[in-house]
Amino acid sequence: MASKGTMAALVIIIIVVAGAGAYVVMFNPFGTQTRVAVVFATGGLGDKSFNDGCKAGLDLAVTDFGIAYDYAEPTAITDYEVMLREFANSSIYTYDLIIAIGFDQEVGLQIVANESPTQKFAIIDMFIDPIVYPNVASLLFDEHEGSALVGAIAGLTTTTDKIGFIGGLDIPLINKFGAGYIFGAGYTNPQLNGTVNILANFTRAYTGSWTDTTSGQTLANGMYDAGADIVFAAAGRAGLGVFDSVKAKNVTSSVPLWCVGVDMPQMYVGTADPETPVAPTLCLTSMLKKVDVAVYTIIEDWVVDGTWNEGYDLLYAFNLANNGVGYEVNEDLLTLDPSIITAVEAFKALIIDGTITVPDAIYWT
Amino acid sequence: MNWRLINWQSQYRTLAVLASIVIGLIAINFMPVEQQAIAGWLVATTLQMATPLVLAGLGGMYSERGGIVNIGLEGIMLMGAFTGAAVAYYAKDPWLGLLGAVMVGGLFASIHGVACVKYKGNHIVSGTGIILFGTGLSTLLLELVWHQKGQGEPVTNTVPDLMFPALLDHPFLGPAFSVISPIVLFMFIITGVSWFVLFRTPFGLRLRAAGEDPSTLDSAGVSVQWTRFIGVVISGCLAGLGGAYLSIGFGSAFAKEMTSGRGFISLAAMIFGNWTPFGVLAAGLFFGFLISMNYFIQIYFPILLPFANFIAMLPYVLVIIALGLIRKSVPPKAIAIPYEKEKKG
Amino acid sequence: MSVTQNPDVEDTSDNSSELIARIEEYYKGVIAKLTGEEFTNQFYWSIGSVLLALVVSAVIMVMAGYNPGVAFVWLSYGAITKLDQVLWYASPLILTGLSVALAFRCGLFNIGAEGQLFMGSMASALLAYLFAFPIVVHPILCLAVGVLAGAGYGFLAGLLKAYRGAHEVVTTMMLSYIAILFTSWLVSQNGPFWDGSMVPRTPQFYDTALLPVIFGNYLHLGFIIALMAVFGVDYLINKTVLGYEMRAVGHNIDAAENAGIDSKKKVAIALGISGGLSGLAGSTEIIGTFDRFTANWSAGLGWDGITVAVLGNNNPFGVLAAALFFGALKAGSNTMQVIAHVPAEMIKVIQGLVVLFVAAPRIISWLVDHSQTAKDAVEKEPAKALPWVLAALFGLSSVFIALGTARNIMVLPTLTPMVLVSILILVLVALTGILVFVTEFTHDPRGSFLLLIIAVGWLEAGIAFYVGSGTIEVTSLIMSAISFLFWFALNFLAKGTIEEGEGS
Repeated sequence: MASKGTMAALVIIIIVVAGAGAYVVMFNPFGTQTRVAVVFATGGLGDKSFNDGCKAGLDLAVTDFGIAYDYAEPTAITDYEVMLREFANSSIYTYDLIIAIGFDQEVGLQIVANESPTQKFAIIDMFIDPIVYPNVASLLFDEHEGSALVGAIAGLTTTTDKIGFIGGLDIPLINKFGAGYIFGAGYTNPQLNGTVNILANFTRAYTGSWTDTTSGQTLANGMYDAGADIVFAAAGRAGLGVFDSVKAKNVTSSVPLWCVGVDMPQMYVGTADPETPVAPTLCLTSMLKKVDVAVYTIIEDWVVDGTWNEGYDLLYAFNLANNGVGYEVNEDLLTLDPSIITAVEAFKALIIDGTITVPDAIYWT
Repeated sequence: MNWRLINWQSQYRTLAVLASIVIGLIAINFMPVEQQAIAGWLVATTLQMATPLVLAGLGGMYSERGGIVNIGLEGIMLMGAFTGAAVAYYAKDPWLGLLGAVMVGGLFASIHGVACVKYKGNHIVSGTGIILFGTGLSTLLLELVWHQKGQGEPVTNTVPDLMFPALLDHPFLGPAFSVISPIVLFMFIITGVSWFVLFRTPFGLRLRAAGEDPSTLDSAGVSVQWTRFIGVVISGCLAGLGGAYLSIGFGSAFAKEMTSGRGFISLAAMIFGNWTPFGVLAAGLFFGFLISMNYFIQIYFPILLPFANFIAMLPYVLVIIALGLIRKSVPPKAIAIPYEKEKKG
Repeated sequence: MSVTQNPDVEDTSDNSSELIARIEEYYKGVIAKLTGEEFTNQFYWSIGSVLLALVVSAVIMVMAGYNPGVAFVWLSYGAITKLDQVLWYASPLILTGLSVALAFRCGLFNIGAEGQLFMGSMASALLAYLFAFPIVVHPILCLAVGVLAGAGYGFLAGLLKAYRGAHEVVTTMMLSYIAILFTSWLVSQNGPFWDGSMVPRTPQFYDTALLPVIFGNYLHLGFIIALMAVFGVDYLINKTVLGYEMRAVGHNIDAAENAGIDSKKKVAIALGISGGLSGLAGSTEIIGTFDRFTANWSAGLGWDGITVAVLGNNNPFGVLAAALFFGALKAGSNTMQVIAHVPAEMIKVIQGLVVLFVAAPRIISWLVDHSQTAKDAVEKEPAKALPWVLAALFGLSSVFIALGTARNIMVLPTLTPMVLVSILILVLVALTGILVFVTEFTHDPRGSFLLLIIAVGWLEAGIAFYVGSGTIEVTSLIMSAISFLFWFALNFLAKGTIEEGEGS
């Protein structure tokens, strides 16, 4: 008969073996599949623009390259550092790349990147000095260029010669969108050019939150009632309220009302039933900030091809020239007048060859 | 009619309010057309912003008049907003959605009621639990129902707005009242009904007694527990409706934490309105007006944009000034005190 | 050694020995409290509430399509292994919890701890980046300024309450919205303290101002400060005249007035101290965790303070325990989110349920009493009592399985009306399952009838699903069979007992 000690030892061995077996089966630590980790911005998934765009890029990378990814949705700024470190020091997987989404992860990322110099990181929307942090790639967007193109479309489409812009917070990052937008509109429509005209015919307002859709909707209501007929929103999830507003206001309006989507192709959201989008849509176009392309590119470069740039090549700029920003054309839902497209393409060519420089901050007042 | 029984002061107050509304309407008529339109938009926005606050505030009033503090309004509103959107989405009928929101709101409040009335728990503790539970659960269910994060699929069958085409051409009345949600009208009706219920029916008398002096109610042979419980359930129904207004009345989708603190503001509206139906209505409209002033100034006075935060602050400052300098809040006497039946010797 | 002693020195040494004696007495009191019956009861109740909350949240997880087992394993793994995170998350919650609890003790509901926290953190942030001081002095000054700012902000609400009768729920809440808007303006591009970046925030603090990290990656000195605050607040509330008077005002303001206590003054002071504690929470966080002030950095620490306070029964040590529990949940949820992909909202559900069960301690006593009875019965007559217990457990598992099945059906690509009906029936079955648990657990004779209902329910759900989709739901049929078996068994048993009773 076995003694109590032997029994206990046996039980412990069984538990350990079973645990290890379960661990191997569940997480496949010896597998060769490469993994990427993502820490989203506090606005969270479901904004149909920024965060969802990044997820779309990841999903595409999963189908194309067969990688796997894990993600975390922090709820406060304090969590960024925790999540990034959790991934960087993970005992279960080693991640080939950790992507930080959003400008406010800067500080947390710098600390964690300093601690784990061999771990590769990427951050979207924020410049991190690649000389100091050679393991961090910064993915930056020229949103003002894309916004200028949708602004040009708006300037040509508006019938009241008044347009509006709704931002999330009154911060330089968001005003980049607004500045480009009114600059483009002013380029195609003299009524929106020059400080006097801008002050008279351009309204901008801020929801004060990335999530309060009700606030976005109310602001848009006010702008349409004030005579603006095209409203461009760059306010994360709060901006989705504009779609509700344009649908309600267009019913009683004497002139056609439009809204402009942001970051992702959002023209389908402007249709009566976005689940099965059919024409007509009330979303004129969308300013595309191709975060999905950015995420896909950095994964392709480093995780798949194994190229990690050095020095200032670690700054990935996404602009009109490399098609990192742009505007949405969806012929199924809405056909823009060919003359508008021609004008906008000409404008685009001028921006790309440097003849026109789009301002990236508020340039009037 | 016994003239002595009429509270003259309150009559004058009502008259004064009605008179100022009439004078205001007349004054607006003499303004330039564009300004009339802006005033109309302000009125419409005020009503839209006030509706959830007033509905939830009235709910809170029913609960607190019965002696049960209900700080869980935020959680209940979120559940109402979620249920309204989910039911309207699947049943393709907004009215069923509203009904569902009212029922789930009542159900959720009855958790609070059971904890506070039957198990004599601490009201604040239970209310806090309701807030957390409602917030978390509505977000989880959002993912379950629509397989989406953050925001559900848009509901195509939202509560249809009432249209008054006759008003459309009027420069002020057009933007203010030509398109109006039935829930906004319902808000006014329910305020009147609440006044009647609270001050002119036996139930109202019992409810108030339960909150002021439960032992008299008990000695009159009425169950204090049931009276209080019904008060809590009514509060949940109204808060649920207020939440549903956000998701399928005004907007057209349920979004994570879409009430963004309106439950707390409605609590403030209830206290500001001194626990009376018309007081809550006035306070809710006042809050709604101040919130829409924030939007108004942003759109029409861009020069003030650098100080947008101070404009957004204005409502809160005004409320503090009003509460601090003008009126004193007098809550029901037996509030938050569980009623233990006296032992019969 | 000098022969003649300075009388002053003698005086202070006397004082200090007296102080030591008082502190000793106080510690004995604390230990007695911790080992007392009331505290143990409270402890068991809390554990019971947590367990119940976990069971209910497991039901919700099953319904939402997550594996509760995996989730809880990783939750506890994170909570146990990441001690530095747990304590780090807990430290601001301890302080805001104390703040709310102290106000509650004086009969005040400080709902605006968030605002006082922002004011406190803003004040210390300004001192931390605008002025240079030597090491050690700098953080102490920052904390002092933070406490003062928070206290002033709380005191404002206190004055309004005491002398103008403005309800503190409204004023503190409004003041907290004002504080958030005001501080975010200060650091925005239009405000004076912006650092010129893309983000609304202040420039980086001087290194001298930062609190040192004392353990792991995160835990800074703020935790020690928070611990000291726990003892300080306990001492203040229970051992000082001011604390006694505050409690008297909170207990019955009229009686306190009759006893000659200036209740207005006490109210104002209580809210002031409460605000100071919140301000301290903000300062320790801003110079401990962060190195600059970012607009809206807190995301609800003050609001969580309310929950912590109520969970801790407004007792400083209870607050400490509750804050540690919340910290553990938060740290565990990070691991759970990353590895088991359960969203952080689940933690909110668990927190809410724990608080709800704490709110109604009688539910726990009910369970404890009946578990005791059931245990005794099983020990006495296993053959008779066991089926009841098993049936109760079956009721509970029905809830899980029904909701799990409903969830599995719900994610099917096509939902015909009949399938929707089967989902509805499954939800009803789950509700009946709860009733079955309750009735069988209490040996209620109506339980066997409910078992029959649940058996029919399972069967109907299976049939409806078959009609709607043409595939057989095996789970439903098996569950239905088991329910029928239980029904037969219990009925047979009940008859046996009756006959036995008649025979004897």
